[in-house]
Amino acid sequence: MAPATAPKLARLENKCLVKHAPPRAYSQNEGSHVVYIKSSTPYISALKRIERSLDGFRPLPNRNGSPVAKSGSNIKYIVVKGMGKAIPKVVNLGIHFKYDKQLHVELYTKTIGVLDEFVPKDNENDDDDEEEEDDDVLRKRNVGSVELHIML
Amino acid sequence: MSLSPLLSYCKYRISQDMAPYKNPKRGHGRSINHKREKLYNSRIIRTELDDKSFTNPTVTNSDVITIDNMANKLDVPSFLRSREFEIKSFEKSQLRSRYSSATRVFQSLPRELRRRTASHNVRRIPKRMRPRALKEMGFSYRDVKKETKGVSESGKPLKKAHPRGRQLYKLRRKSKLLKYAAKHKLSGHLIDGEVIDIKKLNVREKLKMIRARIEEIERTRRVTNEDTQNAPESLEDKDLLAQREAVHLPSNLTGAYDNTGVNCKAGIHRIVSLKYVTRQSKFKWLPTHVWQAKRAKMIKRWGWNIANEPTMKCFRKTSRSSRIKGCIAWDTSYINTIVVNCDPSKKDVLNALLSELTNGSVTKKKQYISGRKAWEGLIYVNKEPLCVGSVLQVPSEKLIRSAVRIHPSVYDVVIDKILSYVQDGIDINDCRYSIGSINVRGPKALTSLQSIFHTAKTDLAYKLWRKFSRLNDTETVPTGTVFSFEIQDPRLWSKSVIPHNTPETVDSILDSLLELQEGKGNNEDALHKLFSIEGRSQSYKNQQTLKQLGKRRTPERSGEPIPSTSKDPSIPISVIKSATNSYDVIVPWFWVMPIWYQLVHVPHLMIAGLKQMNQLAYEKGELSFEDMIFTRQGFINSQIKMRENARKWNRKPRSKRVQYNSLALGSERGEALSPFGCDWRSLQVLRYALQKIPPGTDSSKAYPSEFNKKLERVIKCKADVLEVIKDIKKADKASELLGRPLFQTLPVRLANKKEDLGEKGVDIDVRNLPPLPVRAVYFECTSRGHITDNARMYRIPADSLDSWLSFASNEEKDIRGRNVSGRMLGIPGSEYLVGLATSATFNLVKGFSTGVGFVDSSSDDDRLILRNVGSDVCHVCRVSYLSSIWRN
Repeated sequence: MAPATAPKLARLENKCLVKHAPPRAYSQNEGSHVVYIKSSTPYISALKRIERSLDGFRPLPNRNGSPVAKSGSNIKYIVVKGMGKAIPKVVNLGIHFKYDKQLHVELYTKTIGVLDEFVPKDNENDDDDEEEEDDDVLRKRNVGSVELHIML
Repeated sequence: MSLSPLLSYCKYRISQDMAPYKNPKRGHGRSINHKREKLYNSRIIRTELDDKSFTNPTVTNSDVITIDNMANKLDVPSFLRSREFEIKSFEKSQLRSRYSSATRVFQSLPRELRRRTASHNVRRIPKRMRPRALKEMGFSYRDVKKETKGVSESGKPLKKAHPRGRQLYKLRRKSKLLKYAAKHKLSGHLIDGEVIDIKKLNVREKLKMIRARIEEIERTRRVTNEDTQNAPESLEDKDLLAQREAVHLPSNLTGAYDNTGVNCKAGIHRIVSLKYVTRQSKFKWLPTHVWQAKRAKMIKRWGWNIANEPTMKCFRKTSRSSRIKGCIAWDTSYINTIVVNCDPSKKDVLNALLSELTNGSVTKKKQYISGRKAWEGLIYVNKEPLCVGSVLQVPSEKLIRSAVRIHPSVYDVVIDKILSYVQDGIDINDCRYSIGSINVRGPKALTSLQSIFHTAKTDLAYKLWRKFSRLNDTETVPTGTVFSFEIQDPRLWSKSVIPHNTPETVDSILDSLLELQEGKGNNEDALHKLFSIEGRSQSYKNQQTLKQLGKRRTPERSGEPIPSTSKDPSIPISVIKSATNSYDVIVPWFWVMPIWYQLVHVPHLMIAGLKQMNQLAYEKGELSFEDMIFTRQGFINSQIKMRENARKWNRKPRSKRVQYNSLALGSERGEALSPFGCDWRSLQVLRYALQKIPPGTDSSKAYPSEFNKKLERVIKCKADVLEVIKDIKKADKASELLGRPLFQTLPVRLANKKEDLGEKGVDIDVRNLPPLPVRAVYFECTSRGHITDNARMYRIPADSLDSWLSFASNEEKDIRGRNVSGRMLGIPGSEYLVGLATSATFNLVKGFSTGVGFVDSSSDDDRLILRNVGSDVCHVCRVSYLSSIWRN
């Protein structure tokens, strides 16, 4: 049996779509071990960013000569996240780190809810100011997402 | 093999015998110059030249010598020990020289914690670092005098030989006050003119009498008020009564009171201290002024003293805090709030007012009229765009309140317009000194606000607010979302605290966001309190001073909040998500400082000023106040900047300044427009005058100008156009000197789409030239290069389009395969000049130069050439047109 797929949500006509970022919790030190990839992130930039966060967990001698990792030792893996159009890029990054860099890599799939806002298009009815417009419409949408764990 | 020959290449080398440099010791066991000694030693790699492995070497280690006629042999264990020693000392010296660089202890502090004057003053360094700092300065911690030169024991600079600055001001002030006092004393009058024998009174007695008289007058005034207006009928009477009561509210020690103008402009009239009466006469202070003035460079604008930029350099930090981590806070209390109270029967009048102010966009949508969302956009008066403002409506069956927030530069124009709507049933409260606001921006903005707003009353609105307690919000919450609720005094908590909620799922957060759009985050009661005089006065009732709070804070409850009592006030606030992806916190004026003080103690929050607002705007491709040259105030601002630059340039000696007039720019000589800023007037003249050149004229040739009967220049070629610009500039200057108002109509107006410049028959007249329609653009540099403010934008000449485009895509190579310099393609003539960049610089988000500016609306090219002022290098930029400045 084919898996049940949710019907694709249609865009509202004559409306401008404003996309909102998916909700996520604020964490101050996320930058050291979580890398977000978007569709416009260049592949090589993503690669370098991950390499840099991996470097943060590699021990280097401190002033006493004992090896210490810059980003601490509590983290077990580096997380690379991407959704929608960026999924293939994240998967490709996973392949790179698995085969070229010989690291242990895990891949998880997820679904993430996002908010779409539809606002009336500009300059449509400049002449008749009196005409009432509809309110902005907000709608939930689900987007596929992948999460890559690159073990240190 | 010995490592020694290898090490001999090192710059510093000593033998083991030669001990490291040691300074003569003093009594306490430390050398006099410990630091220098350390630095010297860190550069030394110790070697073992006196090698024991050779059983009996000579001094030069060359001859083979035998002992007892036995051949000289190598002592392997000692040889290995020697080399081990050398390798270790080599590695150690590497580490030592890395860590012993010439840094001082205060440099290890984060930049926010460093104080002014780089902390050579020991007292300005945190206590835990003082012993080290003293050591570095050559003092011992055990010394009797633990202090820095030129500083008193408490850490303050020693007194100057004679008073200056503030002290001098105080002395002058004192002499003036004493003069007044003496005059008053001599006159022998009390307030009412009742003559008394002054010789029999001493000053204290006289003061007592005056005070008693004041009390008496106030008492009678209150009684008469109550008598005459027992039950105030009209809206205005009610507000006037509330206003009078608010001023006399003797309920707190902080001196907080509501200062609202009812149907008139508000002003600060109450003199708190005679000593400082002249202080805020022209430029008012924000509630956080004293705090900000210590940490930021202030600027006097629009009747306010506003932070221009933090003292600490923060270009990169601002960009990062707004996008990646942390957040940025501004005190935006200078934004004026005007509350319009309206009887529901006069709803149409209110709607007409709002429609006029917002060019119809508030009344068009129900979400704004019903107060579910706040509106933000351009404010218009008489169809002329003035500034960015916002409107928040509080509907109810009894009374509709509408809060209009505007930029202080247009305060007079807008309030006059609003005051013209005053009638029976419509009443206006000017809250510019009674409602303040704080703006917080960045991923941590919501979290930091969550950590200081606590309440005992948990209504629906507050519960919804709490759902987002950990949200990383840059673009998740839609623009215009409103929260409003009441909070407790944030100073009851000793530090910022985020409540330990169970983490919300993504789905429940999205559902809450949808609920917010229905206006459920809005506690109407709180909004009515916030926007009414009585409500705000109530919130000041029993407002605690820091001293009072300190007494309530007991040591056994350290770390916990002070338990609140029923007497503690609750503060109505409103938090609005604004179009710049930031949160506007609107609070009663005298609560701004307590909230600000708690807010700046949230970790990873930075403060910023006007400059940073501008920076963040063009980084995102938006227009800030500085860029909005199509509004009158924005245009004036650009003119001021231009004159200031010109003044600076003129002050320089001739040899030290760029000679803009003799620059070789392709076929032309010198900048056509003013090099000191965005010269919109000249651009307007240029664009219109170029249209008058008969088609088919060779642009490279110049003829002597001809004049018609009215002695106006006849435009026949490009050279005439450039002359016309000069003519008009001269005429402008002449009329300015005669005192005639310049720019009654602005030289530019905003066009949202492509428009032609109109008929060719526009007369090039000084007074009646129609405004040039301009479109706002955002541009990105396609190649290397640094574009700065005021850069000129040229259309790409049609004949060299291909080479410019291939230059832009870095395909154009020279014979050696290197990228071609833009210089080789020349500079377009001024006939191609279509626009000017208002703000541009290197963009940290993109990694190349970007900016915003305006171009003549006849242009719709997707690529333009940009050239910095005073430079002959051109850059090709991708251009996108900002079709509407604000999404309404």
